[in-house]
Amino acid sequence: MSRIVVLEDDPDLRDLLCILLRRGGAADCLAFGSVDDLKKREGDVLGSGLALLDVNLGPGRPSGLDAFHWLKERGFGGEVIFLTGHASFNPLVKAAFELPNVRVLEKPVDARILQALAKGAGGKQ
Amino acid sequence: MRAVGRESVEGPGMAYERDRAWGSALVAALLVMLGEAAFAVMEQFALSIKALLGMRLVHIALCLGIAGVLLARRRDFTVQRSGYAFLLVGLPCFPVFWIAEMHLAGRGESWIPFVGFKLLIMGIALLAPPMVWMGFALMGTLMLEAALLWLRFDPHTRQLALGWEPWVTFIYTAISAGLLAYRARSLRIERQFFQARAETESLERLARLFLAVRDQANTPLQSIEIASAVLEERFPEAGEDVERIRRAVARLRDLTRMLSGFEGLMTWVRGDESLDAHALLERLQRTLEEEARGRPAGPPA
Repeated sequence: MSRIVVLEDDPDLRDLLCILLRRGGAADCLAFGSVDDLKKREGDVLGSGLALLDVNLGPGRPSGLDAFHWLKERGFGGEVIFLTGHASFNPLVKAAFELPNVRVLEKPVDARILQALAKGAGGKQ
Repeated sequence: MRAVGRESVEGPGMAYERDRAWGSALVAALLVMLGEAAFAVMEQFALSIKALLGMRLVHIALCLGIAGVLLARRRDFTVQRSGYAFLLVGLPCFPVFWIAEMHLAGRGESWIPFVGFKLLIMGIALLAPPMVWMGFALMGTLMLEAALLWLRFDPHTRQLALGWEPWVTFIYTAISAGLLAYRARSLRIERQFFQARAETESLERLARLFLAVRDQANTPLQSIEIASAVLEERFPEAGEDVERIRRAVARLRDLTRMLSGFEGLMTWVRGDESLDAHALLERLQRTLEEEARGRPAGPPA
């Protein structure tokens, strides 16, 4: 089982995601509220098997896409999945859909799907 | 939208129409003033009639006063008030033209009748404010005055008149009426355009509101979805209650997906991607309230 990174600006959802993913089989879950916080734990983050990134992290703040590019620049080899509660016409969400080798899930995502992600994350590290 | 009073809000395109009516009245006042001054100078060489000169000077003073009021109190001038200012500028022309034509005709020399009439009729066609009926009424009355004058001239005086009058004045009136009718049609199209644009903007604001509501709802819905799954695992005996929560979440999910249908009505602009949904909702609410205040009351329920 692998470590999972969660980047989500809503603190309740951030904690709940980690609880669910751990129960689903993730070895560890690193939760961050901002891209800056994520960057501070570079070593742990880059060793993870799955990154769940919220697309929009609040007005005027770096987005999940910024986190994606930072991860890719540093050679992150795990899977990246974007979570979004926003319209698919939203430019950030559209940009996320156009990225190669990523999935975009629209909130609210069924909890069973998220748990399945935790189970699958081990093989992709 | 532009507030013109404590409680009233102007409808779409009204500010533009008001400004244009004000501009028409001001230009009319200035041009009539210039015309009267020019005729007053010319008549001093040909006629030297003190009464006519006095009337023209009074008319110039009136136009100057109207122009001054228009400039000093621009914000107070509605379309209607500007229309009345335009009318006030034009009305003194009727007695002035009558007296001038009678004197010119009485000289027993060849002359071109109704020059002032034709100038004024053309000016009305080009400058009449959005109260179009007023323009047609002024033109019609001027043509009628020219016809009455012509009927008063004796056959010898008519022979001295140059330029196939009164027919030329009638033709001027007809062409000017056509021009004014075309302007009225353009004005109607402009009004429809402003109305359509306002409706499109309202729809887009509504779509933005729905999407902001949806975006705000999705994250808490996700939290409920996960929390209910975690609770179900921890407390298997609460399975039935958790299932109820799940069904409620599913219904809300369907609702938020329905709201997604409004995405196509929105034009995304730079900066929209990271909008503060709370601020957006507050702003939209204020805008819709303002619009509702400016709208005429609907029929009683």
